[in-house]
Amino acid sequence: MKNQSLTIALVGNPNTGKSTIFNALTGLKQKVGNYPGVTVERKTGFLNLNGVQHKIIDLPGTYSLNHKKIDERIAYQTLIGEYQHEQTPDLAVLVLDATNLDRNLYLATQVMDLEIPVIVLLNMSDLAEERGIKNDADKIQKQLGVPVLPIIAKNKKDIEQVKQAIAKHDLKPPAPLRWKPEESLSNAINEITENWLKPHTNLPNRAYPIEALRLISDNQVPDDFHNHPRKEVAQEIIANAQAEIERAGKNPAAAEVMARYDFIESCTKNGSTRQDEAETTSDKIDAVVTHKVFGPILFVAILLLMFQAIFSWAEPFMNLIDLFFVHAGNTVAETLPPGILNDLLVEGVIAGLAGVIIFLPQIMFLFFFISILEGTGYMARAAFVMDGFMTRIGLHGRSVVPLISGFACAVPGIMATRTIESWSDRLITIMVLPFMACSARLPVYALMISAFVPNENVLGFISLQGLTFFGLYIFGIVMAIAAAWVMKLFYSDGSSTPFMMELPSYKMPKWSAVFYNMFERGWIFVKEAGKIIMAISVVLWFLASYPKVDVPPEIANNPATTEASFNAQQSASSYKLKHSYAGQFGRFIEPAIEPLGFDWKIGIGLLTSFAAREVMVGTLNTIYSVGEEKGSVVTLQEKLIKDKDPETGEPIFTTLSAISLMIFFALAMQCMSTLAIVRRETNSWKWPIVMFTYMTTLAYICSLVVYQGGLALGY
Amino acid sequence: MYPLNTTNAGEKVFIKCLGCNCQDACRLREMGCVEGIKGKIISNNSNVVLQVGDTRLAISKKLARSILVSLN
Ligand SMILES: Nc1nc2c(ncn2[C@@H]2O[C@H](COP(=O)(O)OP(=O)(O)OP(=O)(O)O)[C@@H](O)[C@H]2O)c(=O)[nH]1
Ligand SMILES: [Mg+2]
Repeated sequence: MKNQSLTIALVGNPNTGKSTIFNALTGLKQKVGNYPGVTVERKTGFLNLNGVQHKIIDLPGTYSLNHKKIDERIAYQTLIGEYQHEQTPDLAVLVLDATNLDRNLYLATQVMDLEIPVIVLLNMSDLAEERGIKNDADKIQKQLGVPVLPIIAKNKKDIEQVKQAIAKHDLKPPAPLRWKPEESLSNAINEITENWLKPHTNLPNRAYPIEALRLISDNQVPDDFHNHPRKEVAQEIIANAQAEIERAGKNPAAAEVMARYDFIESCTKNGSTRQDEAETTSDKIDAVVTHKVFGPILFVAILLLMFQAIFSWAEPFMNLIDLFFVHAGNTVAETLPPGILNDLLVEGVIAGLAGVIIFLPQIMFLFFFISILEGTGYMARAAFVMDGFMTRIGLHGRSVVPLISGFACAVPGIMATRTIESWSDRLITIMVLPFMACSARLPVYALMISAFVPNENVLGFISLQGLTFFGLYIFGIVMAIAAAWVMKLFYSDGSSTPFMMELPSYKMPKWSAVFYNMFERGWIFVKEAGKIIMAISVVLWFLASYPKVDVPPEIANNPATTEASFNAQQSASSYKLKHSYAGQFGRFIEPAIEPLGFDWKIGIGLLTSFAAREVMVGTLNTIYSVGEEKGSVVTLQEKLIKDKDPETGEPIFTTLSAISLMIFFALAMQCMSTLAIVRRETNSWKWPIVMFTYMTTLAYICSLVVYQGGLALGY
Repeated sequence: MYPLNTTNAGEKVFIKCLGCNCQDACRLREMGCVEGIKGKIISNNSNVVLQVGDTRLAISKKLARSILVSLN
């Protein structure tokens, strides 16, 4: 229809390319990946067609409208016009996987039953052709009575055709399909519609048959009725309807599915043919990757390689960035006239930024690896391989994908738990997910390790630093496992569902997308960290520089040997720092953290790290820059190593206190965004509060035990 | 008829009966694993990877035990 702004929803099975098409239509960059369950929330964008702006909605994938999980429910509610009081979309674009039409058409017939105007896209035609699967689009079009287009999502020309089809669509609902529920089933549908749905629910009319079918095929009255005052009535009506089907000798749970598949078969018979399957490359890979023994070994090996690479490959780039900031700092210091502005820029802003941006290469390598894992199709295999283990510790195979996302950031990880069906499995996954060492911890780990773990090799080839780094990741994983196991003892609603998941066929990752994602995430890191650090470091610089105090002469006039004068400088400036506002505050909280081996400077860092973990490093850099002589090119690592207690002359930092600090960071809940997302996903303040309390307490206790234990053992 | 978890990799089977609880059976059917369809075992190491039509399904051992198949 001309000149009318439409709402268009992209619907389809998981992993059929909906988000790819959404991106092509709207020019946005939604996350795309080769595993089911990439998209777990609705995303909207706009498409301009001949001067009219249409709203496009990308939906989570679903196998049917018989929703059980949150992501599926979102798709269902959007389609029937129940999602936050929105209207039913004007047009549904059904994205079907051309390599697997029969299964995909199942959902298509359900959506068409909702009487929404549709366009059917047979996506991934390239793969279908490669595998010798021929789909007769014309025949399918005739059978369904709606436009059917074979396309390849990454082809510009094909996307152009999709736009044309949208522009040309008459927006009439499809004619009723020729799939007919046989008599007992359609009687049952009527019964439920008349006796229950019409009088007791406020669903839109078009949703009645689908909803009735859902109730018939589900044995228990679905969760959404649990709080319904007339729950018993519903149960009775549904039981009657089911009994009627059973009397006709049919299985109520299967009647609908069978009838639809019969219809689909008639649509595609001779319409799509495939060559008889020879063993494919995917088969061969899967025989190894999903093997009982090799599978888990491979999984661990891949993680090991990833962490090792992040640590060692990033180093040359980090040195470059370091060099850049040292020079930038010196240049600014020399060009600007000395004074407050100079100090503020060099010691506050540049030092703070440098401290964090140096870790950009590691972050980018991390995202590079995760994108590859997501793009190849390995994620689904990882979930499958780890399912046995996960079930034993109280999680679910599906928890694996969110947990791996957690290495990047807990926030998308927690969102991804929407693909887990059982509430207790999902909740426990959310609660332990922040133990996965996210990218914001990377800077802190890397700083402490490079300063306090000797750069030696064990067994000749494994770097001790790399090993420690890997150890910290493992530590996070082990703590997550332990916590899940304990929580399962206290909180289990017995709703666990057995594992089943579609394994997508392997694909080469799309390299442009991998690199785009890597730079995009790198940029987000710089931007977000930059914003907070700019603000915090300016404030902090002020707090650390004022009030200016006079240094007592016995500290200022130390004997003038070179080594001693260096120390004298140090203690003169650290004397000033210690008596600044920041210093006073740090020393105020020092008693609480001293048992963990932290001094007041770390204390300030810890406080700021509750805004975001990586800020800790920027904070330390600012604090140490204030307390140092001008024009220094000493790195933060060296400053940390050289820092001595002015009274006792003992080093402030030891390997032991560094370990204690890393353990604290591994376990403490120091991330506002995570707490906010937990609040949203669990819909209560209870769980974020529980999370914060238990994680931070655990962090304190573990650090305490390690530090005091270490001291007692004489380290 | 055998439970699915007793088959071997490479074998061709017919899905005969989904004896698992109703919800899980529903899910399996929606994903293309319906009674009467032909399938192929890709791997079976207690957890089973089953190819039905063009869908590759990973199924846990517990669930596999309740799916009855016949060899053809
Ligand atoms: N070969 C080929 N690959 C495609 C095509 N369209 C999409 N893909 C790939 O298919 C995978 C899934 O694409 P997505 O767009 O994430 O799929 P989705 O339907 O949004 O998936 P969910 O959000 O999980 O429901 C990605 O690896 C894409 O690169 C196509 O036409 N041909
Ligand atoms: Mg998607």
